Amino acid sequence: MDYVIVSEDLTKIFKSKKKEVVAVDHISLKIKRGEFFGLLGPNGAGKTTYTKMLVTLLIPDEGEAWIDGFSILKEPVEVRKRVGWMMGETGGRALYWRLSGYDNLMFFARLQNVPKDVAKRRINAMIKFLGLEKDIHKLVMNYSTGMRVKLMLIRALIHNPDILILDEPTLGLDVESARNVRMLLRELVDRAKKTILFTSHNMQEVEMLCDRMAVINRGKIIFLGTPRELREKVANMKVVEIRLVEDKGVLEDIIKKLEQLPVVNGILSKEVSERNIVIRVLVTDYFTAIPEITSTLREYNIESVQRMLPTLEEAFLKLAGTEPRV
Amino acid sequence: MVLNVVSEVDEVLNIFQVKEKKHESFITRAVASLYYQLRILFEYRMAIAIDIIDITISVLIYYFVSFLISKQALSSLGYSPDYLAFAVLGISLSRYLWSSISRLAHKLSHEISEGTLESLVVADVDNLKSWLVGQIMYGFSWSSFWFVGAIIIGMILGAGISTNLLAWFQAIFVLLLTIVVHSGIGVIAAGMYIKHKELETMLFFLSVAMEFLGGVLYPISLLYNIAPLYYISLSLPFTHGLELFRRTLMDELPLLHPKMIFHMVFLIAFLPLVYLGFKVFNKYLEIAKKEGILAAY
Repeated sequence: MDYVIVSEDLTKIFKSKKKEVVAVDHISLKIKRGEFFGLLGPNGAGKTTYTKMLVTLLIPDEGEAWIDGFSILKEPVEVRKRVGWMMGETGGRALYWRLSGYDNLMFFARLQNVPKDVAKRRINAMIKFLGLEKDIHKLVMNYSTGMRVKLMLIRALIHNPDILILDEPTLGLDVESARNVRMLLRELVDRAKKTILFTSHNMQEVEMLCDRMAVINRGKIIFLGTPRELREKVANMKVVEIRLVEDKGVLEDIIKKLEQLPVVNGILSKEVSERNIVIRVLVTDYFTAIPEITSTLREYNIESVQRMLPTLEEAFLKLAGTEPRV
Repeated sequence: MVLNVVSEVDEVLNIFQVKEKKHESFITRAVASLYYQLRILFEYRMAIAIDIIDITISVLIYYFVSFLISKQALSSLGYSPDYLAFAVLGISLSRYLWSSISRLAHKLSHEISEGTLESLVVADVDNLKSWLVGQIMYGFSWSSFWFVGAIIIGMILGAGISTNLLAWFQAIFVLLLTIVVHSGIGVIAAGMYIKHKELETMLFFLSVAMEFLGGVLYPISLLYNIAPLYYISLSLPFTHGLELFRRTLMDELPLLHPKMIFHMVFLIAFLPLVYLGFKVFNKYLEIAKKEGILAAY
């Protein structure tokens, strides 16, 4: 099998005077050429630290990794030539704010050994696709978060690397831009034969794009497989969705009542719009839970109480052992 | 709409499916680093204006001080009796080297605090060397403006600086040699910043070494009676660069003159500092990667 990203027992420990934090704990992973691989995990799980080791920004304390056969420890320059990296949440800071978007891209292209004319062609095609044409000559300091994210993505692609390591590539983008970026990334894998390792919080995105995925928590991989396998693994999760036509003033009361029910194991999510409330709860079993919830909330205007499949996010939260978000 | 997006994806993919032959050289990449740094500089117009005011005022101060210095005192120490020329050449060279060295270290601290250093490390196919060389060139090219400005203002005010073309060619050679040696010190200072995140103390000591012990405003022979200071002064490459520079532009001495050869040999002996500088920088970069301190946001 042709693997382009291989890590063996990759470990990173951050030491300070007071404590030691194991950010990445013996992660072994193999990603195939042409694979779209998702890395999921809550904040602080170790996703960014892991990817930073792969792009040679951090030196591991233990273990080793190879990118397209090149060791991250012994051949870091060869590794970097083959990888396009997009920084995550702090990405906007990785650009020169006093340069225009175009100059930023051109500068990094030149550092990455891309001739001027080639860089120009690539930049023009990408800015047209991502809708940055109008603003490309403005200083980056005047860009919105979404525009900076687009710029970062172009920068990761500018030297036409075979492997892309992208940290939250659609974070901060508007719906249409996010859809276009997802389409482009998928096509880059399917048609341009790139390999993508990307981290995300967006479960739907991972489900939509990834061939395989890993869930990482506290520096360890707690799941490795396809999004479908993840869903199957947590198929025994029983989720009930309650829809009410009520305004948000009664939400707290409803939540309190639900939490007191023995059949309810936890509140997974709550969505409130002007005249609607949607609550998803984890229950012990459907047969007793649905009538009991309906009876407890009878004084409210219930639209529906029905069993649902867990979303990938809910499955992930269960695996990670994190408290459900409410 | 969807059709448009699809055709644009095709356009992007077509571009990325072609594997272009890469033919950029190290120096092209270093020049790109210099060029874009200058573009950033010109966004800071106030800083440029302050630099120009700084040049003028610095030279004017020594113009007035020169009236207080007796011509005999300087002559007795073996120099032309023109204190304004002596001081202008001293401060122009020291400020030239000093601002170039500190500019590199400040630039690095800026890259770390802004978060751009990580992007540079990932992007630079020369392991940050082409970026560093570009930044060194930037430091010296912008400081050249200060340097040339100070000399021109000094000459306008009557400083006896040579206008002989051959002397100037020799001065430029001395200058280049001094720049190369001091760029090594600049790279070491920048590397130390990556690890220790401390800049001002380090730059303070460098500035003291140059201004106080390098003979910027007085000949170092005045330190002869305080032996430790005198020998420290002699051990600084700056002292020798400045001596060569002054003797060239004030007395028009050739490089092979007995008064010049010692300084020349000494300066050349410091050339390995450049190699050492890059080695030290790489070591600090590695430590930073080990400790995860490449960015400080």
